[in-house]
Order: sequence, then structure tokens, then C-alpha cells
Amino acid sequence: MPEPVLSIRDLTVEFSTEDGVVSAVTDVNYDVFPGEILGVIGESGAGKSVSVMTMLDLIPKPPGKVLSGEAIFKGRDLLTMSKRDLRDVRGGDIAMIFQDPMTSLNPVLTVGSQIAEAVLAHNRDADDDSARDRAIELLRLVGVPNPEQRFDQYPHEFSGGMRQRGMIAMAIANEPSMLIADEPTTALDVTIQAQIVEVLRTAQRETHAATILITHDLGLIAELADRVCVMYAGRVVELSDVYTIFNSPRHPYTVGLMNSLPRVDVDQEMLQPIPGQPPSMIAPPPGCAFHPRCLHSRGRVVCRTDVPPLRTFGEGADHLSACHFAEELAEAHVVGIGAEQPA
Amino acid sequence: MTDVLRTQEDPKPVEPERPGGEELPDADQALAHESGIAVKPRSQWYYVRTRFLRHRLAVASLLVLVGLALVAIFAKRVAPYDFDQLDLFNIAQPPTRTDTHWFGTDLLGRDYLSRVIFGLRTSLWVALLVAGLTTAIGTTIGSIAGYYGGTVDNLLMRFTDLVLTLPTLAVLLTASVFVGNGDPFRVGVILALLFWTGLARIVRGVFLSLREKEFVEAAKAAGAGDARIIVRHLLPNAIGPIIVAMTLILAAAILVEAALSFLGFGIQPPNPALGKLIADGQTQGLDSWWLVTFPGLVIVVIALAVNFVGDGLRDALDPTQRRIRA
Repeated sequence: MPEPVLSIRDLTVEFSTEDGVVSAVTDVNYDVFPGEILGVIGESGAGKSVSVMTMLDLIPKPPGKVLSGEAIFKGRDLLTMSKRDLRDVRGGDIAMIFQDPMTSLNPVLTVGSQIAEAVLAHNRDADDDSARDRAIELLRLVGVPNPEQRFDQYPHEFSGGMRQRGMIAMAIANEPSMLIADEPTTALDVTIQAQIVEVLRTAQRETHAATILITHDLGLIAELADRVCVMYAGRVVELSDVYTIFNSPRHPYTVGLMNSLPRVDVDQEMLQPIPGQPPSMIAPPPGCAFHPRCLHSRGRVVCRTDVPPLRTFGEGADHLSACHFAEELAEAHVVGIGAEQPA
Repeated sequence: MTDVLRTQEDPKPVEPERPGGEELPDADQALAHESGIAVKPRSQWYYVRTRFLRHRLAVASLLVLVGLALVAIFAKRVAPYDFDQLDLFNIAQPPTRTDTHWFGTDLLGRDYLSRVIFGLRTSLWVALLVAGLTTAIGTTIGSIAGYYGGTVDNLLMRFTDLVLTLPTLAVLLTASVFVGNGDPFRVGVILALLFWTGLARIVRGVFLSLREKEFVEAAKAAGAGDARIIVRHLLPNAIGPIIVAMTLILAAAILVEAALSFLGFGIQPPNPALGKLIADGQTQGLDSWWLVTFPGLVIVVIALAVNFVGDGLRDALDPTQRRIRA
């Protein structure tokens, strides 16, 4: 296995609010390897974004606070890096694509100048002309028609899909070794989503950047991701390659996610939602945070008392699950919870 | 029956409504680009200009201001006489065409038109100085306070409150006596040091809301530093409110300087200032009405025109503003 580009280790982040301390992210560990797309999936508030935003120091502090952990990027810890060094990393080595292209572009600057700015910010020897050429080239790469004219247009003259293309162009401007796409298609309508997925794929192919794809869209994960990290209540609950996650999930939450998806290969009358609500992050349930909603726990005491560690369970070193009874799920998934599913 | 109905109803041809009025909507432009039809790219300044030019009152006011400014700049050439040139044969003349004493003469026989022109020059210069300095101080303090928030914000804003609580008139009068010396530059600086608070608060407010915008986060994620974000990303977004506030201050500065000079604490002779002219004129009573009326009119015209221009600029600069003015 090659060296990971990014290793997040034991990351714990809290936010103090009026109602109490929110544990947004607890003991999160994951690696991102060169050239791969790691899909991070989970409900709203599961800590998907916070884990990556923390690493780029983009969470507001206060109320945010990093309690522990490190984020080793190319051998350096991003969390202890000086502000100046981190600024070089942001947009240079690690670039972000944001959720809402409507608000992520500065309305009073032309799209082109914002891309050119990204180029200029990280290249000492670039001048205005070469930055412009590069920006136009990038716009063409992400499929913006007439990039020469589009360069001088303002965000309000772009449609949503075109803006997201602009954002992607900006993100890959400096050929980052890592891309973070934070729900890149959530704010777009479905037809545009498919196009943006294509653009993302192109961008990733061009830059060979390791990519963290944050989303709650299982379809997007299936489409793009190589490996999947499932998060629940601020913890990683399952981590494996995309085929394994979809075919043989070993955490009840992942199983629940899969079952709540409409399937075309099975005749279903109703979708099976996961019962209950996501837990309060101020006072999460003791033990496994998922146990109140878990169909598999069946009231076992250990689920309520012990926090299950993320561990392997004899199905190979690449499949990690944070369930006390991950082994049982091998059968449960086939026989029990998803009864209609073929074995 | 149907025929009757048809004639009663007004058979309006169905016209597709365009949200942008006469202006070609941007969506159309974008589509035109995508379809490959050549459309002349229009810059943001094109739109700003167009929107400003539609605001007739603002354009008229701008012309008036430019005219007055030109007169002030070329005062020495435009004014028929020097401001302190005596014409003892024509003392206290009402406005007349003879010897081009259009605004009459004062008690010493000085041509009043020339005095008003030179007064205008002094007043405009002070007002511009005040507006410029105020904007510089207010924007700097406001943007730093608003962007960083927290302790920095608290310190700067409490300082602002402190300046605001100073009894303006008392401080102005005192400072004018001890520091001002009747010199236009010094009076301008004193005014600016007291006037920046409003602008600082406005800019801080705008920055407080702007800094939460996603494009700021995006800029940070792209590696932009604080200075770059403030100057390049936030200030242009705040330019509308800043310009409007600046024009208000410009107008206020003219009025306050006039008031100060009227009270005898502002600009001192031999420098003529509009307020001083009124003050000197009102001692002559109603017989010499022109001594008060003309400089007063000029003050009113400038203040009004500046406000109208500010209005027009605000409408023109706001990129989200799509309303078209009559």
C-alpha cells in the first residue's frame, strides 16, 4: 500500500454553544491515498465537513476548538502548522470546492479574475497575462464555453452549473495534490449534477489529486468514490472500498442507509427509513451513538455501555467497522434486516 | 355572444415579459454565449454608467457639481476681480450688470461674485479634505473591527463610542480656537477627526455580515490572507454604502464648516469661506439681502447636488440593483 497523502488521526473537535458543548467530531481516523477518491458520507451534522474544515483551519474559533488529533499532510501536521505555511497549503496543495456556487464566488469580481487570483496567489513568477491565459485554459478544461468572453463576466452572469464549473476551475488552478469537494452537487439540479460529476472526474484525472468527496448522496458516492468513509454522530462508523460498502455493509447504520435507498433490482412497495432521529450532539447517547435507532442491537447491554472501536473483523484489513457485532451482520444483512435482498 | 365578448375584452398581444425592462437580461446573454452567437461582452462599469445615466436628477446634479468645481479650481481666471480688491466707488451695491458686479458688492466695495467664488473654492476644498480623510479613517477602523470581530472589534468600537460621546460643538469650537488658527487645512483635519465615527460604524456593520459570506471562506480556502480578503474581496462589496456615506459627509462637511465659519471659529479672513461670508453679510441687515442670499444659495445647491449624486451612485454601484430609475 502506498503512503497516504493525508492521515487524520484521533481528531476531536468541539463547539461551545449556548446550550452546551457540541462534540462535532470525535476520534476520527482516516487516510487518503494518492489519486483516490474517498467518499465521506453521513447525515447532516455527522461531522463530515467539520473534519476537513478543521484541517484547513476554516472553522470559526471560538466557538470551535480542536481537542486532540493531527492531520498529517505530506509529512507535516496541518493542525500545528503556522498560519503563513497553512495559507500556502490552502488553494495550493489542498484546494476546496464548495457546496453552493451561488454564494462562493465574490459577486463584485469577474469569475475570470477570481480564477486568475488563485493562480497568482500561489505562483510568484506568474504575471497578469499568464494568469489570464491559465484561467482561460482552466475554464475551457471544465467545459465553460467561450472562455475568453466568460473570463470577463461576473458571477451573476453565470448559471449555477457554470459557476460550479468556475469553482472547480479555481480549485484545480494550482494542480493541488488534494481536492476537497464539500457537497459539490447538492445545490444544483439533477441534470446539472450529472454534468458536474463529469467535470469533477475530468478535474481529478487532470490533476491526479487525491480527493475527499463529502456528500450525503449515495448515488454520487457509487459513481465517483474508490473508498467510502461512513460517519455517524461525529465518528467514523465504517470504512472500506466502495464495492464492499454497497455489497456487504458491516455497520447497522450503513445497512440502514442502503435499505433506505430505492432500488431498481428489487420489487419494493415502501422504502425502509432508519427509525428515529439523529442524536443530539450535546448529549449523545452513551455507548454506541447509534444504538437507539439500531435494528441490530436488540437491546444488548454492551451497545449502551461501550463505545465500539473502529476495528477490523476478519474480513480483511481494509474493511473497518465500529459495531460490537460486525461479524453477525454478515448474516443479518442477508437474512434479517434487508430480507428482500438477494444473497 | 362570443364576438361581443371578444370586442369587449382588450385583445392584447401576448408579449413575453422581460424582467430587466429594456435591458437585455443576463440570462439571455449567457445563453447567447453558449449558443455561440457573438455578443459584445459588457463590463461592470458599463452597467454602472448606464444605471447612473438613467438617474436624471443625479446626472444633472453631477453636472452642477462639476461646473462648480471647475469654477472653484479656476477661480483666479473665472472671478472678475480678486477677492480682496476694493472698489470704493461701488460700495454696498445690489446686484447689477455694471462692472460685472453680478452679485453686488459688500461694504468695502469688494466684488461679491468674486468673493463667493473664492469662498466656494475654500469650502469645497475643506469638504473634499474632510470627506477623504473621514473615509480613510472610518473605512480602516470599521473594516478591521468588522472583519476581525471579538476583542479587536470591541476595542475599536468603544473608541468610536468615545469619540461619538464628545460634545461635538464644544470640541469643534475649542479645537478650532487652539489648533485651527482659521487655516482651512487644519479646520478640515479637525472636522475629519470628529466625523469618521458614523462611517466606521457603517463599514463595520457591512463587514460583519460580509465576512460570514461563503465567498470569504472560499477565498480563505484558496489561500488568501486577511489583508487580501479585506481589500480585494470585502471592500469592493462595501463600496456602495461607503460612497453613500461619503457623499453625506461631504454635504455635512460643507454645512458644518459653514456653520463654524459663521460662528467665527472656522476659517478666518483673509481666506473667504461661504459661511464666513454669510456671517459678515447678516450683520448688514435686510438691506443688503444679497450678501446672505448668494453664498447661502451656493451652499444649499452644493449640499443638495452632492446628496443626489450619492443617491444615483448607490443605485448604480449596487450590482444586485436591477431596478431602473425614471
